[in-house]
Amino acid sequence: MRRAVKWTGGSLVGLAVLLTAVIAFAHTRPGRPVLRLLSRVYWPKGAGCPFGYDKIATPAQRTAAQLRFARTHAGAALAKARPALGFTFDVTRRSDVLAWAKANHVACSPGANGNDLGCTQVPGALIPIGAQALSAGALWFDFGRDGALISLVAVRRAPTAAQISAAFAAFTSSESRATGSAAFATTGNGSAAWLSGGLLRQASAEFRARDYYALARATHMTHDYLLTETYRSLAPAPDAPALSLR
Amino acid sequence: MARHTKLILFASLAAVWVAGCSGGDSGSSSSSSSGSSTGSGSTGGETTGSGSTGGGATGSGSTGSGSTGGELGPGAAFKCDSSGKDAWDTYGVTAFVAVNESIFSHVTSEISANGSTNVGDSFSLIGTSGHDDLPAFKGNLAAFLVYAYGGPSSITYTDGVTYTGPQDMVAIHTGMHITSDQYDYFVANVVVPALTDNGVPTGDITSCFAPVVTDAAFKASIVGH
Repeated sequence: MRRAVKWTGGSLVGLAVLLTAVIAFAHTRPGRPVLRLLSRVYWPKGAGCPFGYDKIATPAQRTAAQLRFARTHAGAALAKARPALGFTFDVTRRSDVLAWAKANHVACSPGANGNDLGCTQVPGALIPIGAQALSAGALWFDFGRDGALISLVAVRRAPTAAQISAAFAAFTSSESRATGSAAFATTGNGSAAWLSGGLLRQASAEFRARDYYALARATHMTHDYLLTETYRSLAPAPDAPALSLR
Repeated sequence: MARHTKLILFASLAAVWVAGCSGGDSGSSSSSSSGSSTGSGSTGGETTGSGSTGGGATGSGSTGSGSTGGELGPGAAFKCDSSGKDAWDTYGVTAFVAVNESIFSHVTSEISANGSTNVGDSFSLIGTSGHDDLPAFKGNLAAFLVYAYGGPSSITYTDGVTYTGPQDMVAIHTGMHITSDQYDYFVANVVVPALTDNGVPTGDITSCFAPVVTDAAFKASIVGH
């Protein structure tokens, strides 16, 4: 009896030591792959970080999200145009974007990084904004239940405040024309002088139409300036124009 | 003799484990480590835990509890233009709770607009098996923010539970492959709006909030793992 207790106790201690050793190793730099593996085994959908970026919604979920968003963000009038960096809402399909990417030597990953389709290092010249060709950036596409484009986000950069300010001005001018109205809401100041005044200084402009939404934020980051643009279809256009791709 | 050997081995391994989990891994670039290029200000001074001395904070709902350690977060080294004090001492508990809630509000808004686009859908896992429930999730994020900006290393949040601020950001984000663009998108579209929505002036965002989230070492602890 005493021997069995000893044996059991010894085994438990040994197991604890082994587990401790594995977990300790997993938290060292060489052991990161082990930690990653453990995370996948025990937290298959990601461990703890609220901003995971690694999950992908279904087209039906995206369409549902589109409708939810439209309920709270739609404007009163239909947009005169629905600019989306040369792509066409409710017409452009994933295969169109992939063909465009291939023709322009742009790397896109279907389903990567939490987006339906993400393209990286997109040359600024391919997606000009006004007269500005900003540094290469990322494009994140989402397609709805019918497979057509419903949302596009662009993240791109410029080395100077003057460039980002001009790009921001081009965005507001273009969107004013497209929606036929002034910005629904603005924050900050888009001038180069103001943006360059300190880290995380930011200007934003939001435009709303009944069938279209656009938002841009120009932000002073550490070594450069960031322009994030969001373009959304809020409802399929009744007479959507023909496919238009660069 | 054998028993002593086992005990020593166990204690040694346990110590390594604890060091690794608490950001002691020199390669982790964890926000809780003092290796950040922001200058963490980890001088070993005791935090008092009270914190809410400015900004009209009255401590509604959430209180800063006694610190459990002497280490100060990286934000303690940066003083706000408006006060000459760090962000925690300037804004206090009420503002930190408000900003924390606002971050959740902006993320929820993102999810409402995009499903999981841009911010992932880990929020949808809250309350599911193996994941924090919403109050715990908020409490952990609040504790991290409070600690990172000069407050105590643990807080008691609105749910009455005590949460620890220093967290191993590398371990938390390992396997998520967050890109630089996604991180910057999050800062520009969630963090800055959460601060401005709660009345933090531009000068203070620049002087005492921006240095932490734009710090290269902090960003490196989240991006690319």
